[in-house]
Amino acid sequence: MKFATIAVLLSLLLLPWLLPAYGVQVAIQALVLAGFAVSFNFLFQNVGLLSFGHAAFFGAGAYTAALLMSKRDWSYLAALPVALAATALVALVIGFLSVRLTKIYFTMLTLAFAQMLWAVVHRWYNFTGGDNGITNVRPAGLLGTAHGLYYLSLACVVLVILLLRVVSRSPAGYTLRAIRDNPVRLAAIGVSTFEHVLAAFVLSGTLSGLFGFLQLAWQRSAFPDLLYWTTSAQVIIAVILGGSGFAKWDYGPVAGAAVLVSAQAVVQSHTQYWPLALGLILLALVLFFPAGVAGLFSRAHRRREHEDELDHAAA
Amino acid sequence: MPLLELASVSKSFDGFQALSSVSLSVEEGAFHALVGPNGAGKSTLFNLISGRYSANSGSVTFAGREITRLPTHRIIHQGIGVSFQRAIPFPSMTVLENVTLAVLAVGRRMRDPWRRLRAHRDAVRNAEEILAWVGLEPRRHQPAFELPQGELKRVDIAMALAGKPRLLLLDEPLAALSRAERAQLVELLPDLLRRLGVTLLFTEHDTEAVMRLADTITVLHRGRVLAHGAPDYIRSHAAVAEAFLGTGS
Repeated sequence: MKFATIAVLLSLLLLPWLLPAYGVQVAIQALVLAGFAVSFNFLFQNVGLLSFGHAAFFGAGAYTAALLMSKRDWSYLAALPVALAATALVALVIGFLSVRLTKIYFTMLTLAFAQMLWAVVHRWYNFTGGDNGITNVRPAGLLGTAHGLYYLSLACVVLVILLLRVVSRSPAGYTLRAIRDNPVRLAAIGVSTFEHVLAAFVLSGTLSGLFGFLQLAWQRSAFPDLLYWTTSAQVIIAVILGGSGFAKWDYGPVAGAAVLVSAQAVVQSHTQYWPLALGLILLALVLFFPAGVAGLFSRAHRRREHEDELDHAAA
Repeated sequence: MPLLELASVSKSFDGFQALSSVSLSVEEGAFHALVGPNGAGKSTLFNLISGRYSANSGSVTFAGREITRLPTHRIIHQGIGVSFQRAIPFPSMTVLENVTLAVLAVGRRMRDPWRRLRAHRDAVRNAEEILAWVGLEPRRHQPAFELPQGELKRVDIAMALAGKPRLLLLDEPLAALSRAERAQLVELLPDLLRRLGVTLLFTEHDTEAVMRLADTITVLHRGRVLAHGAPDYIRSHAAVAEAFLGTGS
């Protein structure tokens, strides 16, 4: 498996030199969605909370940077720490008010908060530009090029995956899984679930803001649809498509994002009925491959391991 | 001074009076049983002490400190270990990870997001020692969901003991166990808890096990204390024997 990971990473490093310009743009979009999906799935897979409001954090990261760049002439990278801090603050406020709830109530409340934020951004013409958005916010230098942005996005995805893996294997990560498994038992060993879920929510939200920040560089503009519920739905679809419930829980969202963005690019080059195609893909997935794209690889990997064991036993 | 003292505790749910002015004292070192038929208020009382419910009136005092309104996680840090009736260990973790997590929780070391769980070697060693106490050391690397009910209950008790509690609360520890598993647990608990100096308060339906384990018994009936005393006294209490123990003397 380590060999496969190294091979995938090497391929990703070479990819921009092998793809046409449009392909690099699609690859950047796939990386941004992959990182967003991994960040979202950290909360979903580890704590078992389905947020339908992660667009708020994605949009907060993008809009904070866009505002600093357009109104204060900050450079793209200088805006990054402030964008992350602002996103963390938004996540802290929404999380503080949401994480006491679970199941559908949590999902609906996060959706409501994100829609409220979208409405503010959509209507506050003096500050956010309203539905006209903030345009022409292009990073200077290397990051203004497709190759530069591709490698920055790749580095962010890899670093976020490594960070979340470290957290997942630590006592804090185990505590999150314990909350998902049995919150009553966790309280009975002396742990307050609230602060741990809130910390996970803020971490997941802040990292989502990082990929919103990258999305800004990709589209060189910020529009209210970054905060709209369809953006939250897109990341959920990427996770469902890839499969979230594996020991290596970050493989699924990455695979899902890659498939989703690639399929969208291919289908849209032939027809305008992408939503119909997406519906058919999801239908086929739920009916025939409920474990998602990563589930297929995982099954093939397990089968190969099993065959190796049989060969070994026979020898 | 009793280790645990309940003074005139009452609790109702939507007009149903589950507990009416219940007073109870648990002495340090005692093995104290709460018995009674279904609906007597045993589990309600258990949940009041452990902080899952809050009392409508009355007070709960542990080691001289009032804990009436504290949430469960704070009560645990006062020196009380809890094993709920249906609160089984975390199924996605191994037996050792479950108990290591409990050891770290007591030391408030759960917030560490950087070091691996198993890199907390002192906590892992401590957890292995606790698992040895309950005879589950050989099972330490097994996922919890693979364990039979009796062993799961022992993991749960190991987790409750991880905090070195002064008082251990067990809600129907023998429920859903096979006859052999019950015998094992009844055999294990007294020696282990006396060695550790842990006071025990437990609810249980199995009267035979109660008589073997407990040195003090409180009988609840319709949310009130019906009788209280040593097993011999309870056994010879005519109304109790006839109504609850089925051993009419």
